[in-house]
Amino acid sequence: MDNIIRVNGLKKHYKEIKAVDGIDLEIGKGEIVAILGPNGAGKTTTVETLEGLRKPTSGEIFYFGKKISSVDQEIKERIGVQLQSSTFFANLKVFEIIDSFGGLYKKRVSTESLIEKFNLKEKEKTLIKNLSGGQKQRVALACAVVNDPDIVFLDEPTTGLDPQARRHLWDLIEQLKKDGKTVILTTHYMEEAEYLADKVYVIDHGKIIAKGTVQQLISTLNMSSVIYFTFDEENGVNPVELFNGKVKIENGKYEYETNEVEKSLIEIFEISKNKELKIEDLHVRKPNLEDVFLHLTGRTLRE
Amino acid sequence: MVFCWNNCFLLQFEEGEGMMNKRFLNLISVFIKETFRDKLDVFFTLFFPVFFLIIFGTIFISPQDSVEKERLYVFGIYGNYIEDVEKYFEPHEVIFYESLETLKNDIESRKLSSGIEFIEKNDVKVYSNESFNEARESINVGMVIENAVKKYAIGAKRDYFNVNNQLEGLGRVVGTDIDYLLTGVLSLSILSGGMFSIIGVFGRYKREGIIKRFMVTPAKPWEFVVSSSFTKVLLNLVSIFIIVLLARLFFNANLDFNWITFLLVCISSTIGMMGLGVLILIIFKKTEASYTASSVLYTIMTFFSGIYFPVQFLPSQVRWISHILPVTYLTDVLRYVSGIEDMSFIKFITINLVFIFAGIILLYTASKIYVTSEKNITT
Amino acid sequence: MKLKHLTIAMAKDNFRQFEIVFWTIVFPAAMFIFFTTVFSGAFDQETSELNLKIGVVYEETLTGTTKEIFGELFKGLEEDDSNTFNITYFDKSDNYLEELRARNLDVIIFFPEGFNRLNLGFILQNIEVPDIKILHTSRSISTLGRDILNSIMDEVNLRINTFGQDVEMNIQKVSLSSKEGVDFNYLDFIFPSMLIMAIMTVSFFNMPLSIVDYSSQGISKRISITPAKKTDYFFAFLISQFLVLILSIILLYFMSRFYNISKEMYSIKFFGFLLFSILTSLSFGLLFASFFKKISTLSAVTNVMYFLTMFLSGLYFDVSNIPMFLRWYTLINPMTYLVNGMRNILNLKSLEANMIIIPLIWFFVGIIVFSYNLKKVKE
Repeated sequence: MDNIIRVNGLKKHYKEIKAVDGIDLEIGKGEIVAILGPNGAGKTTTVETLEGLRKPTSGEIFYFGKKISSVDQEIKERIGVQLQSSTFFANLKVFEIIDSFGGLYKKRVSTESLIEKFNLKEKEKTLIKNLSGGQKQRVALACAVVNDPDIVFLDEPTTGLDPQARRHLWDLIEQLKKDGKTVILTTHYMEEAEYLADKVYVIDHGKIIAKGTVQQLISTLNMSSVIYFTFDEENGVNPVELFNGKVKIENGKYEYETNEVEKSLIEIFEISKNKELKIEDLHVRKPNLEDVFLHLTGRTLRE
Repeated sequence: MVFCWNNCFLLQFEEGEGMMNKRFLNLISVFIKETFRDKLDVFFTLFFPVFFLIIFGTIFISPQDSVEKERLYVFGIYGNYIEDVEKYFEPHEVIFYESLETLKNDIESRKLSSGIEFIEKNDVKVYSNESFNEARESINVGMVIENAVKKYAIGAKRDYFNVNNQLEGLGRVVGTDIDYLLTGVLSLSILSGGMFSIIGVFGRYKREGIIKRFMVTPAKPWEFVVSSSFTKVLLNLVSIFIIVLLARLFFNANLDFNWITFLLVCISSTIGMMGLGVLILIIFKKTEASYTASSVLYTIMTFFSGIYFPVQFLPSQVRWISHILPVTYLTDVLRYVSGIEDMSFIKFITINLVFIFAGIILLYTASKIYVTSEKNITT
Repeated sequence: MKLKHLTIAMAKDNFRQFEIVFWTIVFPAAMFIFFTTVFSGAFDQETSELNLKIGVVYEETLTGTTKEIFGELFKGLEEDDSNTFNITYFDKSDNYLEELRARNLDVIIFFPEGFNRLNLGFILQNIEVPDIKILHTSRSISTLGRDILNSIMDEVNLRINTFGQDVEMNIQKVSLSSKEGVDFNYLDFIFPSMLIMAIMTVSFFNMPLSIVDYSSQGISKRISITPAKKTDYFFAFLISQFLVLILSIILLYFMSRFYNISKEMYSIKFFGFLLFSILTSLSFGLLFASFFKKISTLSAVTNVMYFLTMFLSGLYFDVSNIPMFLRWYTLINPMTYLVNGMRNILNLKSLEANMIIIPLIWFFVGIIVFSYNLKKVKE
């Protein structure tokens, strides 16, 4: 796959602070790439350097196969950005904001189509200051794609949103990929990276500590899935014996560790049916990126 | 291909003049909407100068006063006096009182400038209300009364010479008190409109991340600075014209504006005052501190620039301050373009050029610091 | 204990905000110095630093007694210790009008050709009275100079009548603004204004903005889920505001020691009235906070009310005679009565009933409205 952005040895130091300390990235065309890490890991510094807001201390950046010394007008015409925290003019209406950003580019998508696409029709004449958090993020996303960019940078786009708004925004981001755009997304939400990303870069203390697809990263753990369940009444039955030692009791729940989740679930259902046991609180926990991060750093993403 | 100086000020044509114009006009449209819809900003830019005009105009200016003639007073007389005592107070008006209490009440209610109680021919009591408004005038009243009662005491028959006052015009029209006050109010309005607005643009917009958001678009720093500044100039012009209109309607202001030079002065001085706002931001760094410093500077300029009272009233040790305040020079050029005073053309052009160039240089500096500098764009 | 902890926390919060410390404590003190330095000489001609530039033009050389009289007069003015007059002499060929227009002169006294017939006028009665011209411009310093010269010339006429002898007169000046026998003192006028200014800063800005800010930030909500009672919160808040104000008042009192202000400022009566002023004014803060939940709206309203009240309460100049469309505000506004009450005490005059009643009415209005809206405010 052609790399639309390539970064070699990117560093950004502020006196003693090494915000970014030697990062390599390869971002393929049409991919959604997540840069995952806790707060203060260097995610925003990395993307803001790629956006041209910060000058790298050292390193190379390649856009569309060409090495660049700075993010010039030509590149700005081809990228779209949603910053981590930025406000728009509070007294402009939704359609006016999108219009005004559209007017800054040579190439642009019509305001009406963006309003439809991002489900802002009802709010198009509302002042920005009167929108909810989720609506503001949709406006920000619309502004990020108003120039029909090749690359879209999204810096923590769902922070502060409720689960419903977050899911809706994920759908919109997926749509961007379907439209052929390359998306670079920073997040500290593991679920977001797992749901959206084709490739994940895990960052901590300014360095990439892991990279790959979600599956690749998880598989490096060599961890099994765990099925948790309890029985309503045991009727004198010992579940540990029933499952031939494959189940252990932890905090009043049964834990069945397995690499074949479906097969194990069928086994649980059959045994419960045969022994007339009612299953309660059944859920499956697969290894996830949080486990990857914990394994690599000894900390969780939220610490 | 024409390159601008450091890519900021002259037009850069490499990408096509059309695109740049379109982007620039787009930005202007954004800022116009944002500025004129910010009710608070509009309210304060328009309200305060009008408020000062009405308050100071009402309290300090008396429309019927003419600068041409000596001010005429009304004196109340009570006590032991001979019949033709009023002759000695001419041309001032004299009212006779039967009761001292009534005399005092009329003085307190400002129906009289002052009151004289004749105890004997050489023994009088002079009653007055002394207040800050009439500080200087009360001295004058005192001198008039002193001379009149002395003349009365000696029965002075005649004046040996006459005194005629002759008003020398300084400009195309004779300026009245309201005209001088109005030009002062306009200066302060331009000062506050330019200085405070630019702190909002670079301070508040930076804090809210608006500058940052625009800097990841193809919009150039100078486009951002010029379009935002232009809008503030526009708001200031609206404010100025409202003040002039109100002064004409309510206070019969006499000003005879040369509208072209007046517009030039308004624009150049607004840019100059914006530069002052930038300077304050550079010195104080934080937006809130800059607003505080600007408010203090505004207060200082109000008192030290000779707008509400002559600079000569200030102690001699501090009079030099007025010579370094830009508002002093702005008031002078406004008095020139309004026809009430004269000024050499060279001086007029020089002052305007200083405002424009100082303003542009400082706005350019602001664009470098606040719109392109990584430290100030990124959090 | 809870009250103490809350008070300390809120007081620290106040004192660590530069704007609160500056505008409440530093600014009134600075304005006090400014006003006293600039304006306290306004009522005292001898201490005035007015430097009037007078041009004396002789169209023909004066001779005889006329020359003696005016020669002595101008010499006396020039040699005056207070440097009030700065005299330059011109003859008819000089460009004295240009000097006037260029502000190198403030006023010109012009002796025209034929003025020497005054010499004959001393002896003969039927001689045509010669004229002196006083040339002036519209600038206030020039009109002041005109009025001063008019008075001086009046005095000269008088002296000619008395052959140069001064007239023995007993002129007792009585200011109706202060108790009989007590001279008007500008410092007694301005000191209460500065106290009221400090009080207004707290009641119009610090208090209401803090109430709404604590509400919107969730601080009051957070405290409400602790064991601290509502009364603890309320009193802690009031005390913390009061502490800032007290410091401001202490600073003003300290600075007043360097000026000649009436000793009545240390009297129990004055302190009592000062405390009364603080309590009634603080209720304003509660009133504002009751009506406005948004900081931006509240800030706009309090700004407007502050300036209106400051200029229409007679703090800096007398407003008893302004037109009714503005005067109604001075009549209903409690600050007018509070500042006049303080001035009355300093001038040994008695307090009038409205100086207590009207502020008291506002106090109760503030308390009642606040109590009614208490739930809304604390949410």
